[in-house]
Amino acid sequence: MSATAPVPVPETSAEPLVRVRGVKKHFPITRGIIIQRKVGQVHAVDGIDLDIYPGQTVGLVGETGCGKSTTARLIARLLDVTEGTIEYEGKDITRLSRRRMRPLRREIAMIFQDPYASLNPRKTVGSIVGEAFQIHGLPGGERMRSPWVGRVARLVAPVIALGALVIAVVAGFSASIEVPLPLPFGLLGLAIVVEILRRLLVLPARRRWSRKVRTEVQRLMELVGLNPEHYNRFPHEFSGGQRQRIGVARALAMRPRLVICDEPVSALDVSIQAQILNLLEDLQEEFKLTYLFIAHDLSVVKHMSDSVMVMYLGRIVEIAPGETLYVNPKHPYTGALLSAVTIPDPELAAKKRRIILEGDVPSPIDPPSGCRFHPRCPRAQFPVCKEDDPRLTPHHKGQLAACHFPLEDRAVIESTA
Amino acid sequence: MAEPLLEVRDLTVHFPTDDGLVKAVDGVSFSVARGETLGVVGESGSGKSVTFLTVLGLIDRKSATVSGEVIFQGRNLLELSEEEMQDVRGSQISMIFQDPMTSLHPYYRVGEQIVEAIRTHQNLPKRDAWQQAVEMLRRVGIPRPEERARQYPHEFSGGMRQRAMIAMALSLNPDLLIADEPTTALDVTVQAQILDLIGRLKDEFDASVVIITHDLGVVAEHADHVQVMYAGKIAEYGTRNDVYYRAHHPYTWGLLQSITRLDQPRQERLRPIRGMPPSLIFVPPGCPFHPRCPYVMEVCKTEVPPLLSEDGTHSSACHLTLAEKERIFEEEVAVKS
Amino acid sequence: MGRYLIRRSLFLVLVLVIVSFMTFLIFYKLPPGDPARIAAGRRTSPDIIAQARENLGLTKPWYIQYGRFAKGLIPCCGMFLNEQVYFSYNNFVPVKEQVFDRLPVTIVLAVGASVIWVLIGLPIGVMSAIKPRSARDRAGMLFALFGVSAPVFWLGYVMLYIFWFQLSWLPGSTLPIDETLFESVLRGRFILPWVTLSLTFAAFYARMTRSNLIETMSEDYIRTARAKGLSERRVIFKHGLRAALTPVVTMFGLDLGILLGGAVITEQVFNLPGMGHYVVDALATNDFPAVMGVTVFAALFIIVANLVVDVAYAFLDPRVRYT
Repeated sequence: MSATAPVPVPETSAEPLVRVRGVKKHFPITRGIIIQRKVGQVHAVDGIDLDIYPGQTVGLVGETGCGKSTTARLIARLLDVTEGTIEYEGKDITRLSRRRMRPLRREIAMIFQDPYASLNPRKTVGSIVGEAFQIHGLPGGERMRSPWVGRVARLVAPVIALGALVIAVVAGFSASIEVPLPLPFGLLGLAIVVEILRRLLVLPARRRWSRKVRTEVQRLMELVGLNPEHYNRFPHEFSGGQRQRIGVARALAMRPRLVICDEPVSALDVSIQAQILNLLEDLQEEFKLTYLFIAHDLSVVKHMSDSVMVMYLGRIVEIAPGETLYVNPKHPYTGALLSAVTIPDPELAAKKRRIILEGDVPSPIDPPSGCRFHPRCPRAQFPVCKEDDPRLTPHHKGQLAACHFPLEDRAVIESTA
Repeated sequence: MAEPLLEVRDLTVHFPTDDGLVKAVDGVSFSVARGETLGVVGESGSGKSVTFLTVLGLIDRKSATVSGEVIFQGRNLLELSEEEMQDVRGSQISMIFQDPMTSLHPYYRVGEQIVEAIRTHQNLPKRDAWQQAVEMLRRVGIPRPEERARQYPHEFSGGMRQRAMIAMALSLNPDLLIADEPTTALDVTVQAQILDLIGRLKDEFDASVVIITHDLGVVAEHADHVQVMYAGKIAEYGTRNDVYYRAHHPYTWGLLQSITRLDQPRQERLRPIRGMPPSLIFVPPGCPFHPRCPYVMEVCKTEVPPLLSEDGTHSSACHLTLAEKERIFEEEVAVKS
Repeated sequence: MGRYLIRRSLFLVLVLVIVSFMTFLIFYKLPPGDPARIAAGRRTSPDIIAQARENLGLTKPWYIQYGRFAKGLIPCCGMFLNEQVYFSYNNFVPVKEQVFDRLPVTIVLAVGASVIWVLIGLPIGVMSAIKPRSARDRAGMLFALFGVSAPVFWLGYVMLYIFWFQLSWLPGSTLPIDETLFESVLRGRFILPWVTLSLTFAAFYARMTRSNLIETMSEDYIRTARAKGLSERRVIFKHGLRAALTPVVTMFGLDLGILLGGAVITEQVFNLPGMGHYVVDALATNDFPAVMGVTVFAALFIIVANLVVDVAYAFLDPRVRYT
């Protein structure tokens, strides 16, 4: 059902950084009295192949329910696949255990859409960005020493003191239980000694560590254009654009190779979007990052991506490099998407080839038969489109489209280039 | 020139808060002609929504200081009593909002909510009102409207909900429809459907439309006149072509330069407007845009530029001379073809 | 919905079993004192005690003992609270009789109080919510604070003191035996108990209604309703309150369910022969079958109330559907 043809290969690299083959993700729907039986499933992602080459930006575009966010989470292994394989740097990571996956989490980072919801409002900026270091250690490799020792040590003295208190109370009130007088005082003394030792031995190392983390975090904050002195501020004290910068800083903390950007600018004001997009581009160049860029705004994707994939109802319906998608779309859905995007130029907009779709996106619980797009497609022909699920077939210049009757060679929008 | 349908003169809306006085709308004057579509463009904090909420009297007069005039059909709406405004709302001026998910009451059927709007203003028996509601749903393109009218909002998709809102807003044939970010929460293909629908219905119902949005593309395709707002004031106003092909305000230039566009080849870098959107409490003195303006002059820091019209209806609030504006636009902003 | 009801009913049975078993454990296996001895009375001999032990089945293993009680949980075929097992140690009457005797008093008390607390609490909450931070609002919330803080027993005695002892406007505590329940109600003997019991709840409900309504009024659909030109009254009641009340209805069902198991303190203060009073007496005298009987009854009320409330929720909020 899914094609084996990969994304167009850029001239430089040979091996893809990420290779996805035949991946499906189905969410079960259950009903039942006591025992829940599966009565259906949501075909969020239903068989996709994609390759991401190092240094590239791959754009993933689609509307609600197309599966692009689910795809992002599958690649980041925040979700497990129902079927298919995901390879990272040639290794199969599809079913890696949590423990095995952990070192890879340094290399795959994610930036989320909602700068208001994706930051824990109870943590300071420094804590949010620096959290990765607590888990993985600093980029130089240094780790926090025995975090558990510190946590347990903090409890020992208070627990002993509490024990002393309890014994004292019991002794005081109970006639029957005999308690030697020195016992509670001795315990209290012990607690004091333990606490002193802790402050002398354990804390300094902890403080040194915290300082190192702080330096690194402030470096990151400067990198993304935030004032490092705001280290101790909380998310609600920042604007939307700044919060998104925090998200970027957090993603970059461990110097990842792959950054998955899930609609990073959709929730931002127009004038701030440009700032964040520029930032992402600068960072990509400086750190040789690879991006999977997910958005519903085609113009943003066009600006950022080297190649673009269009998703519909859990499938990839068109793949094209660079400008080709915009100049020469082949799949009618792509054509409709392009036609729907508004252009801030009245005359060009008037000349746009208009393809307005009927109805709404169908539910991924029960996708249409044959070509999933056939109920809304202005070019659908029966019975072919209703019975035959088209595969991704190549067109010119590395472009693939899954359609029996692709669009002719004519731009939807007349580009000025 | 025919008399405008709606004329707003020197509207000011200030909210006293614990942090200070929020000057949401600060001296705004414009008009909406009969049968036209006005696009109001601005980012968050520009005052675009508050302006029109005030027109409809939906701003609580006890928590806001409102001054100015809103002339509609010969009356100043700001001076009307609450009952008189309730007459106007829904039947002469209607408003639809951004998020159709939450704008409909989840407990009542869609048909019931439309019927409620109808029967508030017209003395129709329930059955007739229901028929009218179903008919409106049909006119906005909802298939099987009889069935759909009996359903609850959560059974509708996003696009359909917005259609239902439009149906409700137009059910009493208002003269003016205000659409506050009607498509922001919707998918791109659905956006196109809804904007198309609004355009079509505007003609069928012979109404004027105000589209409030942050999307310059929406306004380019659907508006006759465009009004750009910034920090509670109008930065620029003109016809569609004026604003896109002859823009005269640095903020407009900034917006045009910073957005990603499908109609242009992939640029190396976008040119964002530097700085951050202004606080409405600590509004910069003089021109509110001056801290972010690449062409700022001394006078901009102290004097508020008035909204002046240099040629016909095209006006901008900027201290630069007309010649300078035209030159800068030509050299730096205009899209080269 | 059918499936859901079946599932809930099965849970109901499960919960009843667990509750009864735990009660059994607490009172039967762990208490001080010997049930046989208590049952046998004051002046007995070891033989009679042993006989009593035999009769009460105390010699049998614990699961058989529990089994006998469990059989009494089945609400049909004359088995419910059957007399062989559920026989009061104290009064030597079947528990069933006593419970059904006292149930009406508790019902009258609970239902009357609930009506009053709704009639007081909701309007106060609405008034407060319409104009937050106004004088009206502060007065309402002051009342709520008082109602929540005043302990029931204190309130009860204060009421008795003022309205019966000093002013003689209302009758005092106790229901005379020669009056029917109906007559008692008519004579106003329930007024003070109703007011006492309802005050705390009224306070809670006022606060809850207020906060729910304030939250609801900031929703988008309220803005839409105003934009349609609806009168403010209609907006508040038909749109705002309708949505805000859903959780209040849920709470009401639960509160009523709990009260039907016996409003213990109020019944004590006013000496009303209801289930609460009964169970207190039974506890004091280790009358285990009585305790078991009332506990099971109360549990039944609460579980059923729970179920009714959940089902009602589906009717109130069309977004909620149970499979």
